[in-house]
Amino acid sequence: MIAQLLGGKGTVRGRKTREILLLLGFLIVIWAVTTVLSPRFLSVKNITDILIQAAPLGFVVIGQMIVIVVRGLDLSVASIMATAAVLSIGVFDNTATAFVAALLLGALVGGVNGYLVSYRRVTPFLATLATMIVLQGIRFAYTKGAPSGSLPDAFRFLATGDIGGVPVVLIVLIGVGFVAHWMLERSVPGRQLLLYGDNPETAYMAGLPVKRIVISAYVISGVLAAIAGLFLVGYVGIVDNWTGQGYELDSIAAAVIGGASLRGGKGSVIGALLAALILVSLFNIVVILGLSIEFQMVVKGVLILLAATVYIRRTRE
Amino acid sequence: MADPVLAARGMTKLFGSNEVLRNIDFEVIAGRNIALCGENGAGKSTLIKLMTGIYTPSAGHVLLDGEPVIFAGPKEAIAAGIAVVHQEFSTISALTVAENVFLEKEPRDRLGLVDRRRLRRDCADLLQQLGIDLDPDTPLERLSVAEAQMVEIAKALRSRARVLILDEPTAVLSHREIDHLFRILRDLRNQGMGLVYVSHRLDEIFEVCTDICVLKDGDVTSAGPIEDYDHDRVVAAMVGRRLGELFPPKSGPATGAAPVLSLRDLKVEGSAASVDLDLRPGEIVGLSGLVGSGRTELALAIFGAARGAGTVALSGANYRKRTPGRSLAGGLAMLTEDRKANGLFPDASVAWNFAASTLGKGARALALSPRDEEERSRSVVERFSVVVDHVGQPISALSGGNQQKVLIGRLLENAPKILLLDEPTRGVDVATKAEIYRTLRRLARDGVAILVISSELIEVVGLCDRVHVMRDGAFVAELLGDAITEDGIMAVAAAATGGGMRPSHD
Ligand SMILES: Nc1ncnc2c1ncn2[C@@H]1O[C@H](COP(=O)(O)OP(=O)(O)OP(=O)(O)O)[C@@H](O)[C@H]1O
Ligand SMILES: [Mg+2]
Repeated sequence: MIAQLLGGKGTVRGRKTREILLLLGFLIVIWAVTTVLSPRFLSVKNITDILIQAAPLGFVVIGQMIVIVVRGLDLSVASIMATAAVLSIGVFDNTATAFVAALLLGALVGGVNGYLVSYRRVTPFLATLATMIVLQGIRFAYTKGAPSGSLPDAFRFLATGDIGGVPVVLIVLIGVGFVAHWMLERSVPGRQLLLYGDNPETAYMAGLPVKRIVISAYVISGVLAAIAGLFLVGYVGIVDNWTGQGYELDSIAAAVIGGASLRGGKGSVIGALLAALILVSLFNIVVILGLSIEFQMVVKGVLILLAATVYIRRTRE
Repeated sequence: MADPVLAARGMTKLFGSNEVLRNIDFEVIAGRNIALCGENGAGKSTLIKLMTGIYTPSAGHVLLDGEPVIFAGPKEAIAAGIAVVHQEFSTISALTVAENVFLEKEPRDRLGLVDRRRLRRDCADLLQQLGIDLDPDTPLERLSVAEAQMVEIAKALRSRARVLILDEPTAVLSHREIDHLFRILRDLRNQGMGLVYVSHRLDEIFEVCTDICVLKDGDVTSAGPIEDYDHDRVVAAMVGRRLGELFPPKSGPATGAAPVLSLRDLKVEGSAASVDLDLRPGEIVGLSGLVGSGRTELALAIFGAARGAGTVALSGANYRKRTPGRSLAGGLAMLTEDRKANGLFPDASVAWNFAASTLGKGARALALSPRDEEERSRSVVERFSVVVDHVGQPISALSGGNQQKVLIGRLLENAPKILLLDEPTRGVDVATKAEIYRTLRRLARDGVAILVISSELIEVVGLCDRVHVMRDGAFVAELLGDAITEDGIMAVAAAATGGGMRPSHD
């Protein structure tokens, strides 16, 4: 019965399920510890706050995980977040237009990344580093170094408002997560991503559209980063040139902690989202303990090492 | 008989609840060469990995010179003088021959840096000793699978070994390299090395081995000196029953029908010669030739995975911008020779590997049905008797021969009209070989055109209606009907090596 639930021993699916349960267990332990440290932690409001805080990272980590699945890496996500927010809100007064423009920008940058990696065979690290810097330049040229300031109310609502008590951002994240999960686990494009990452040579010989697969991964990552950027500026309340700073590394960390392998072919949406939540919850502990913010980095580093060793041990047997 | 150098006592191995080996005793004796036989999934590779520190036994132990030892990892086994050539390659394609041969054992200078001059010289010496004709500086990715296999063997022998274990070393070698390898093995044996030899080619076992041990369903079913055995007795111990004819009757060359695949002046990149060929529905055509004669390159060029100049026509229509995706969509499918490099999705399940056939250009639906995938892969598992617990297992947990069977199942899934098969029965046991041959003949009878590349001459002779012999990228002879014999093929294939008949480019 339990074995059935776990998806059977020795199967690929079973292993994946156990990894997710492991992450869930870890999250529960963290929350339990936090509750002991600070009894007020475990309230609906506080948990909701953590979820909202984690949401932008949630969008980014889904995209990052998908790029990692195809043996890539997307360093440009943070730059896309800031640039999409700064440009779209700066140029367009209409909120809907701004939103669409941001998504298009994300898709365009992702497309360029994917093109460079697949057609031009630039390494993902260099390709996305380059687009990250170019975007930064464009952003600074546009704002002339100073952040543009005002933010339409609609964005504030999207990021902090709620519908029937459920925060809008969480509704959107769950929607996106659901679609991404279905795509990766149950659709032809998702399977193509996973198999390509497992062995690109075999994918090519099996007639899979390898270039399209790689490009689509980066486009997804770009679009999700743009969405994250809009929600993050809405949450913070100001449009800043450095919106999203640090999200590239946080998202890579979360994707890896969530079970994605840098060797490609492996990753799950649920794992990635749980890992993002774990990271944000740990940051929260650091704050509760009154430790300095730098401590968050130590926590992050230790967690990555922990994840790496756990997963390596698991793949051995 | 002399005391064993290396022995396994009461060896038992479980993967999960699956008992792969049960209480096995096995001995390697200096100056002897023992064959380890058994069907796909019998546990041959597992036994080897248990004796060389890669897997830990569930019960039982290893004896070295009669003393119990525990190898904590492959390095300790190597340090104890046990060299292994595994079934799956361990070489790294981005490195050169020399770098691969001395991987992690590179000669160092006083600063601790790799001494490249010595590295090259040591490698050249070793290759010369073994009579392997390769340049130490060639990157491995430029070598054929057979050449890479010879590098693998050189790597195992880089330091003085007392035991040499070879897990299907000849699966990718052609006659000439095999003869050469056997000379090396006999020399080593005469020098007192103890050898273990795994192969599904029984004639080889009778040629080089002195003893035999047969595994079936986790037990040793038969063991003893090779003189006590003949072909049928080995098969009976392996399969548990007598096998009928290995090859189904041929149907003779198809002459009437219009060709489904025509090659005109097809020239593979890097080759001076070009090739003409017509392949008709219903026939099985063999491509024979020594390793390096350009067979694989030709198939890849037809399939669209390698460049080639000249024309390829499918059912009379010129097929220009060739890619694997477009080939598959047009009913032209290929099985590649190196399953680890470009045949398998190693971390994916058996079902996923199998269902990859639905993800190409022909993919119509957006949604996948895991249940449907599982059911269809189960039917392939049954048909080719693939040894697997559950189709959800990663394919890398299957034995080599069983992996091959899954790939053949995938290949046939979309009902291709033309099949290009490069070493189709690589690492497959005799019983399943027979099943594969029957399947191919049935397909041919249903109108599929099949091109088979095989280094195993018996296979070419037994299976093909027509054989083209290749040399240096060109067809040098076509054999038909009764003219298809091992000697006939060898005579033409090797002709150039003896005299000055080589084409000018070499
Ligand atoms: N890592 C593993 N996890 C689970 N099962 C395994 C693993 N390795 C091998 N097995 C199982 O053990 C059995 C024996 O495999 P092994 O590779 O030893 O067979 P073999 O005799 O070498 O076959 P072949 O002739 O095809 O190479 C197979 O059923 C295989 O599925
Ligand atoms: Mg094996």
